[in-house]
Amino acid sequence: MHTEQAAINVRVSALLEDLPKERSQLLPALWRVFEEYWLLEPEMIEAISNAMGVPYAEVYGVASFYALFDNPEGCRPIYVCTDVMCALRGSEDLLKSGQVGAKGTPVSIKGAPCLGYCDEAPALFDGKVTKTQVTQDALAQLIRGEKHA
Amino acid sequence: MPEVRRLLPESTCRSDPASPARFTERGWDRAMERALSMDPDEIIADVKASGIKGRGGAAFPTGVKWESVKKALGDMRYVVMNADESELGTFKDRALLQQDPLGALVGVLIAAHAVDAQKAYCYIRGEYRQAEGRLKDALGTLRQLGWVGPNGVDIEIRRGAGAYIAGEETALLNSIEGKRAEPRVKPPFPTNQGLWGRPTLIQNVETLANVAVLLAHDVNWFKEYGSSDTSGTKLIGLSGHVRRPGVYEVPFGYPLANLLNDSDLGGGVAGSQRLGAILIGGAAGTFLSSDEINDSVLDYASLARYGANIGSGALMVFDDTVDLRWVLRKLARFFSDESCGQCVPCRIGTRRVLELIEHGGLTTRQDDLRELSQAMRDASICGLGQTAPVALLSLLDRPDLIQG
Amino acid sequence: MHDQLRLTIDGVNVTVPQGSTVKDAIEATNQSVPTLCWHENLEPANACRACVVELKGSRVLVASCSRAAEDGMEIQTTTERVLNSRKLVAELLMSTSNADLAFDLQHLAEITGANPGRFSGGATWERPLQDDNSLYVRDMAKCILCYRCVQACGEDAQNTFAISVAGRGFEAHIDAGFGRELPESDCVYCGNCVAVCPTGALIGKTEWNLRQEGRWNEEGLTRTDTICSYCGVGCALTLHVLDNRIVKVTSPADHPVTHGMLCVKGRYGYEFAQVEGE
Repeated sequence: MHTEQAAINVRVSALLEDLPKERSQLLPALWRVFEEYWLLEPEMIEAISNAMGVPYAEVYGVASFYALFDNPEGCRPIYVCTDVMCALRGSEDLLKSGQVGAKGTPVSIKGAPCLGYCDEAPALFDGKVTKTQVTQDALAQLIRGEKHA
Repeated sequence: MPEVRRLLPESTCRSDPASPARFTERGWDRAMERALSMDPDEIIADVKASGIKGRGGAAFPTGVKWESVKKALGDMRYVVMNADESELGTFKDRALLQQDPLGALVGVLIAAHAVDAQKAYCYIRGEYRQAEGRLKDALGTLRQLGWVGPNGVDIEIRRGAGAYIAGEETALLNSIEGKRAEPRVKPPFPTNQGLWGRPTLIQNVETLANVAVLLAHDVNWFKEYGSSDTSGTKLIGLSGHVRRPGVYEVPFGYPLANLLNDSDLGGGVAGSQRLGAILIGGAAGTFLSSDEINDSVLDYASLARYGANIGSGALMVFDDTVDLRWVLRKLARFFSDESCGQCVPCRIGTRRVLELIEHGGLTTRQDDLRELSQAMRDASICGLGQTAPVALLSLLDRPDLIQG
Repeated sequence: MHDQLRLTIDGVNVTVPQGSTVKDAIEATNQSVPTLCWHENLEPANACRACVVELKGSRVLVASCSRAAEDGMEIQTTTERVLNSRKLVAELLMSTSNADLAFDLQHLAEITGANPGRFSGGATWERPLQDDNSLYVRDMAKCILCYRCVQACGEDAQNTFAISVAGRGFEAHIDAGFGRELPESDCVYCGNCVAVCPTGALIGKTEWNLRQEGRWNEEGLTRTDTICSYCGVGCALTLHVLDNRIVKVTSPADHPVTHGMLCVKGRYGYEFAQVEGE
């Protein structure tokens, strides 16, 4: 546990090395660490707290505010929009089929509020890019692709 | 009438959207040179004369806002571009940033010059990675051309992380400052006390793009389109049961029915091909019946007759097979998930609205829903809680739209 | 610039000094303003909305606790909208939280004619008691998220920042980080969070134990003021004594040194005074 924390501290401070150590850089700092691990566990919050000089409880308070940082499984998240316009085009079934298909893979399929691609529904966000007019086959391929990656 | 191309580039525009060639092709060199040759007060006078209103939803007169920031006391001023577009059914800023990212950034630079700001932030929602990439490239181009940099205005891009409320202007400021994105109580307004207590101008992407096209031309040119109440054009996000969903630029005053049906715009109702209703303005929007749609034009006063608002420019179209109670449940879920949790009427109210709707309260608990809605509208801290019940109330007032 | 501001409160003219809030102006007419989150020594959190009033020219109601009074303001405190909002605030909080020790909330419910069960039956704030240290207990099922404890722990008093609001929306809650126990947190046990808590969600261990045993007796308490002898600062202490035992220590909120805030020694270092015979 202790050595793990030390290793994370080293990695996090390297990730944040060039960021100004200001409170206003907390969100960019959280992004960098999140994209390195795809999760924010107590050890990472502790390391960010140390590196940025922001109290632990406050780092957690900020991180837990944002939906995109809520990924405790640490799997690569794929967000399927289940809001009105995408749901009209079958995104709820898409979400279900994805969740079944993702079992046992390093991918987790989550529902998401409106992704802002209502004109090309249904849409998903794979953590890096948005894909539109997604079919169940396309999602299955995406999940399989992640498995090999 | 064909759709207008001002904020969006002409379809003949073939240059890379973030390139120096595009900068010239769109006339942004002209806009920048003109702006820098003008006294800041002249720019503000032009923005006022143009009649540009904020395009994020509130429709506050842009020039008046600029004047407030300019006059506010402070050793430092900021400009913030609000690209945290997360309103349900809304995607026009995303389209604008992908198709023409330089325009909005030129608007930022003009605004910074006009209000004497030294630093600007572009806050973009965390899921808009492609648009963020475009914005980064465009910023690189402006640096390369010498318009952005240590000697002028510095621009920093900030990425949100999945919070609709961060688009509320004071919540956005807290997010930039590294705090929880909870709205602040107003007054004081950001124009006087924004980022780190300094005067701050916050504008929507589309508003800033309007400023760029205004300065690339002039006030008379700008006012060639629009209504007597509202000049210029508006980006509309059409989605749902229309043949041609997408982002369209049309003049204010344009008939809503034409927006749905014109062959080069919505192209007509899809699905059952019979119009049920539209939800205009986003999650906090208003359901309009087809009679109301046929009687309305795209302008604030026209829509206000039906208690509706252009809002973010979202126009969600439903054919007559859609159960609007289902839509309402989705909206209630959205607000309940996206409330920041700070104030009681919104934190608990949005959850209770959702629960009541899920358990048949639309018919059995109408009085409770109305009283709760009134308290949310009256007593919530910010626009989220204040407007969360709007769509619900609009449907309660239009029982004919509810089936069965 | 006027030194004095003139307002009308429910049609009554009142004059208050510059820097007053709308709440101050209302109180100057001998009316009281219901509040839950407001505390005299903390920055207004604006969270509970119990103090809202109608301001002429304002589309929405304004929180009187934080809104600066301005010359010429016309305020209404008893309109239907004001009373509806206040009643709903009480009903909503009663539907989520255990209000057994939330006396201000009980009072709000009473004066607004709230029906405490009106919105019950849905999600609540029920959660397990956190009893992880010897000085105070956290019973967050009683929490109304007034932000007072966070402010007292942070920049308004203690500057420790051991707790923060975490999560969002209905799930927003007070947290030391990942729900961790206080001994693992940055907590220094000053108990200032306990002192400002208006609902008993944070409560001294001695009081909590006595209440559990049915031996807490508010009427039987005697209060004695003294000066803390641990260091030279001179903090005023109020010793709350029940059956000849000190059961709680507070400090007067209007004391110029403490403003009601103490350190761990002043607040919890009282057991030595009652060790018998050794």
